[in-house]
Amino acid sequence: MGIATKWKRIMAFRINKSARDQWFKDISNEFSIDFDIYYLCLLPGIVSRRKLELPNSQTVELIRGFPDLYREQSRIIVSLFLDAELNELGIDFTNKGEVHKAIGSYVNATSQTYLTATGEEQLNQYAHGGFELIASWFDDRPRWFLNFVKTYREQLSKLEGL
Amino acid sequence: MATDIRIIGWKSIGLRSPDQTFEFINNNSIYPVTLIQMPNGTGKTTTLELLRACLSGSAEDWDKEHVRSFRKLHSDVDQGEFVAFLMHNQKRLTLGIQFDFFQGSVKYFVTGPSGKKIGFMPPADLRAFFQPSFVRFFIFDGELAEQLLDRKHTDAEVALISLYQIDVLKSIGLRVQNWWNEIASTKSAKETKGFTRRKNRVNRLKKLVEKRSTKKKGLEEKLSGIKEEIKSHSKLIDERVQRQESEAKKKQKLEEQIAVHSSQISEYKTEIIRMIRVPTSVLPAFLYTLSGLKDSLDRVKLPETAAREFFEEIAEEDECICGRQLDDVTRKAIRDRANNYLASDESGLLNALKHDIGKLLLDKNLESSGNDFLEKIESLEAEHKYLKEAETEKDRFIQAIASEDPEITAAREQIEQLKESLRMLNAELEKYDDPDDTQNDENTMGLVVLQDRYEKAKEQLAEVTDTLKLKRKIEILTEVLENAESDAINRITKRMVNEANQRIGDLLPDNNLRISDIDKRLVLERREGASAGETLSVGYAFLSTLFDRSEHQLPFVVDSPAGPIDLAVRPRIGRLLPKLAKQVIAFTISSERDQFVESLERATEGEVQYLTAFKKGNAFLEGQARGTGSYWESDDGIMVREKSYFFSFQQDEENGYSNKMEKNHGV
Repeated sequence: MGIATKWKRIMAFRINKSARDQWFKDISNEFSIDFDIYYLCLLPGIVSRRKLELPNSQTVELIRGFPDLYREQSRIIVSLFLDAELNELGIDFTNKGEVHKAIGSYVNATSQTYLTATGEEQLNQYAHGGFELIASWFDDRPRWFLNFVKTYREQLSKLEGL
Repeated sequence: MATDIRIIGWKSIGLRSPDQTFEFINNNSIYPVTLIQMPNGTGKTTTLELLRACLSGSAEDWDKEHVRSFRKLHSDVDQGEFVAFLMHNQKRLTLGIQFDFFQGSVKYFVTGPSGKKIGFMPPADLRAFFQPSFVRFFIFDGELAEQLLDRKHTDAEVALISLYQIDVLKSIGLRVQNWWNEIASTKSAKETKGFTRRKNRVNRLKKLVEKRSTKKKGLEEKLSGIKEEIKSHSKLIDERVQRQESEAKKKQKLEEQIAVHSSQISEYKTEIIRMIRVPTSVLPAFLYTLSGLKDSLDRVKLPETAAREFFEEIAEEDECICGRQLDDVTRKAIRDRANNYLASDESGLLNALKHDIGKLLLDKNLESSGNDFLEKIESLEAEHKYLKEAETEKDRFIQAIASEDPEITAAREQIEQLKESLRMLNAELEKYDDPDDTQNDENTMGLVVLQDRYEKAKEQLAEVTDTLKLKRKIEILTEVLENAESDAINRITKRMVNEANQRIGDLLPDNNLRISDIDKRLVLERREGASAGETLSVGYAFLSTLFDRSEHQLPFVVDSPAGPIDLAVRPRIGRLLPKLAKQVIAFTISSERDQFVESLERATEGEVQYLTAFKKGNAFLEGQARGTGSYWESDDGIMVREKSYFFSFQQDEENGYSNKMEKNHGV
């Protein structure tokens, strides 16, 4: 090829396609934005440290940065993710160099997600893993918001005790 | 880029021709014409063969016997060497062959601006010319002149194609074809042959998606119709109830209660979702997690007060901030260690994270946020309960009225039946949302799954279509290249034939000899053949035109240029020869000088170099040579660079070294 094209990876939050289109479809109208569903999946993923790698064909791009409704909590969410990752990696918190290196590989101040490509990939994997967990809490997909939110809270609290 | 090649000289050591070094340069200027007078049997043919082999790489194909045939007679030395010294685009280039007579092998070497390399590796722009089929044109082979006219040979066209580099078009075609073969080999099985199969699948999936979509749409319309019907029956019930004022008021009150609960439910939901968006509200334990993270970062003092850029800037200075001089070692150490610090952007972000966590930890309300969230869920649940009760009460109320009004009863029954239909329709519609992707196309009901498969099938078909389009483009390009090649050959041929005929007319005005075409070989007009002299003249005329029209400058080396040519024609050959190339080197014998050398010298722009070379063995000749003051000798050969010696040198061609010069001098 005559002209070398350097592709820049597009940063984005990606959700499991079937989670959004199938599993949450009866209650998704209750949420004003799709990111709510992504976030609902992300929390149990982070708490349980459950990650799932999915091919891009099974996921769909949601948004390239935190939506306005999450602006205030965006850095808290990133902090929770960082804590999960640093613990999962077994980082020695007394070793400054180690902590610094690990953080440097995940955070990127100039990105709309505050994350590097690696960080974002891992965050998406927590969301995919979290959805798998949520689906296991229910016999069938939730038809009512109340039933969903009750079970969600109960199960998430149980996870916290793990 | 035009190529300019001249021969500075050549050297032959340990070979069957005498050890000799020929030089064609004087004060950095190359003689336009050099005549080398060598008696027959003194290594002329050998020298020309070696020169051709040296410039074409052909010796790599020689068998052991042929290699050993170059060994000096009665010599026990196992090594020999032939080296050609060239000027290539104003830069020196040396090509050589090393002989190993014991092994019967040869080894090439090339010395150019990039040093010495073993193997036949001339510079890229010379490769088109330095190949056996073309070298014969400028290190002229007497046989070639005959072959130019011989229908069994294709030399004339080869020369034309090589010199005008028309074969570049063929090379492009070949590369395009190779490229296509490479693509086809990776795609053939799955992409080029599956066109029909893929097209059929796309059509099949398209029909399935359309069929399922139509069916789904029909069900949705039916569903919507049933809902309308339910509304209509409900309206009828309402109208019947409204007729009785007291009943209407009661119903209105019940409906108001339902509306209040619905509204409350909506508010709770909004509130719950707002709380959900705050992680610590959903799970208060996150506060401990965040607090722990902040403490850990504080403990390791992250982020540092200094950022990476600070140290990188110091490393750019001559002096460190402490006043010490910085050298490359200390600079490198600073830069390496700077990597242990976060960049200012990242430090800023880390500070912001810690700030947000700190702010959160100071918010006392958050301690109870987990309970608030739970309470909201409980409130929502309670409201759902109230709503359900209000709806049940309304139902009972309607039922009571219905029992006294057959129309209402009928309407309620209708509504029940319609609701049952609604349930069935919803169940039917569910199938079209089935995410199951494990069944074949026909048994898959999920529209999203089918739509996905349809899109993928279209992509796969597009790959084949693109490949086929590419194939067609390659076919067109190949055709264009082939047409361009034949068109170029035709045009060049036409011009060359005209110009060569003019030269033949000048050389042989009375012979009525003309080239009618170049069809692989030179085709003579109304003649099947020509005499030796005519053949050589036609050959020169052709080569002269060929070289003249080309932008490339090549030397021309020829053996006995006027040998077989009539005395009357020789002056014309003598005039033509210097025009053949910027450098002409001709091997001659003494009998050839007559009528030739004089006209050649007059036609040469610049000085003609006269060399006479012969094998040692004749004491008189050797003595004469040494008496010239401009001679060079080896163990077995002598070479004289002097015009008068050249002209006075005579030898009996029949008897080799019995020399007429001896006779002239009374020896």
